[in-house]
Amino acid sequence: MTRYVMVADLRRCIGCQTCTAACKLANGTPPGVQWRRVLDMEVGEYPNVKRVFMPTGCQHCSNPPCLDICPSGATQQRDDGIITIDYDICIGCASCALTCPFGARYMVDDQHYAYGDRPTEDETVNANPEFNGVATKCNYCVDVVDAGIAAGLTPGIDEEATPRCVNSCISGAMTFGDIDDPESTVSKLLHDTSHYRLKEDEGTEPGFYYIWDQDQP
Amino acid sequence: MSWGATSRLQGYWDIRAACNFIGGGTGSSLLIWAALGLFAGLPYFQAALFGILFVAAGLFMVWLETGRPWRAFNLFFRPQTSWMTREGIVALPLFSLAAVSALLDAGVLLPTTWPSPVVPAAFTAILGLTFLYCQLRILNSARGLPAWREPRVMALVGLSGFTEGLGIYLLLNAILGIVAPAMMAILLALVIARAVVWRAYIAALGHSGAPESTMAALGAMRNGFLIAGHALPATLIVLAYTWPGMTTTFSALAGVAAALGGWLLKVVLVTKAAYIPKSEIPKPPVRGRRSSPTGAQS
Repeated sequence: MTRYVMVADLRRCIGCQTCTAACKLANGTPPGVQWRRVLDMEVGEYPNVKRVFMPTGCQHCSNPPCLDICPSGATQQRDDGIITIDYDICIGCASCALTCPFGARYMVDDQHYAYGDRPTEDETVNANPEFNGVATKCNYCVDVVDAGIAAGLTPGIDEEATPRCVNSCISGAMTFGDIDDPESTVSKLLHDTSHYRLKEDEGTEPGFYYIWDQDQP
Repeated sequence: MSWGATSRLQGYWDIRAACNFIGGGTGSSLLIWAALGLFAGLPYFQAALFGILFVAAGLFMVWLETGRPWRAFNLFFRPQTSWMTREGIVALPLFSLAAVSALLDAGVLLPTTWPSPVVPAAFTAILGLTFLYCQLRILNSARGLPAWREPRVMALVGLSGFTEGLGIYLLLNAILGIVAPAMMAILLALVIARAVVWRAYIAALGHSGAPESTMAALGAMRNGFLIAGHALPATLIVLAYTWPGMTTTFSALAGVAAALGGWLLKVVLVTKAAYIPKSEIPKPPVRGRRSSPTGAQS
């Protein structure tokens, strides 16, 4: 079996938001919608305060609550673990956005532009009207992954088969790959480090791991 | 700090979705009380008609809420797991049977096999109960919202639905000049039960660490909800029992107050209290040294 996951090394992420920009550019998401978002957080108590940058987005859970709740069947789970939305089926009820414990889904009713009523040059080319009135979210650049696999490439290794946010990461904080393959980069990384997944008590089994330290003795 | 570092109010469902819970809860339970009243010899047609109208109005409002309303038929695609699909499926026979039973009661239909609307009314009541249950599950399945995922919200909103329906039922009976003392007693019991469950719900939310904004929104409605939606109708029911000349008026007012209290609850639950919790990180990253505080959050 294949199970694609994302790994973010919190020690490396510098909060540059390049992944966010790469995602927006590639997917043409409307203003305010960031499928790959980097949280800028302060943790601890003064004076022992740290600034932490945390890439987030759809966690592509193994047990996704958004799947069961979707009344139209637009939300689907592929055999490789990637959660997709069929924008031609979604009715825009937004129940999935309310049930996602990670707040990873978005819904925008009307077309908006970043600056005023007229699209920018980039929005003219990249805007996706199909996103209006339906739930949207990160899909691990499934089009790129599929095209890469079809071309005989390996997701997570070859750029042409790897999500754009991972390719764009300037600090090497983000990694993508098949966790069921013990030789994959993500498997080796997770084997050698201390990591966690968000809200594990929810039981959704996210496919998004966060490295926070070296391997504990 | 950025988005996600504080709790934020969900912006996907607004007053239109609240109206679906108001119309669905009031209407479905009104159909139940109408059927029970029919068994006791009380008028049925008016209550059944309003029950249908309430449910239909709620569904119409939520239809307006959807981003792609002309694809509404797709709603029926996932009955295996989706309570929203199940709600839609139940609505169709609910409308049909409620309409048939109401028309039978009004004498519009002249069947040869069914001498009275009792049988279709009984099935209408069962479907109304099912419809109400579907709505409770829709609300409770929103795992991203502490105010809705708390299991006691089902008891609270369910009881509120019964209370609202009975309140409107008493109002309709009063308009027809009919007094139903047993129904008044049931309303009093429901109002008391709703207040008790409200306290349990708030306590459970507090224990579960719900966002402060959620607790603040619910706290802001507390006095209005308990006084106007509980103390007032309870007092009016007692007055109705003890002041024979005003029984009809007081029972109607008690019903309206009890229903309004429930509607306030639903509006606040959907539009004011539904906060998405702030993001938390179990452990901050260790950069350059091997020590890290644990369990920190933003």
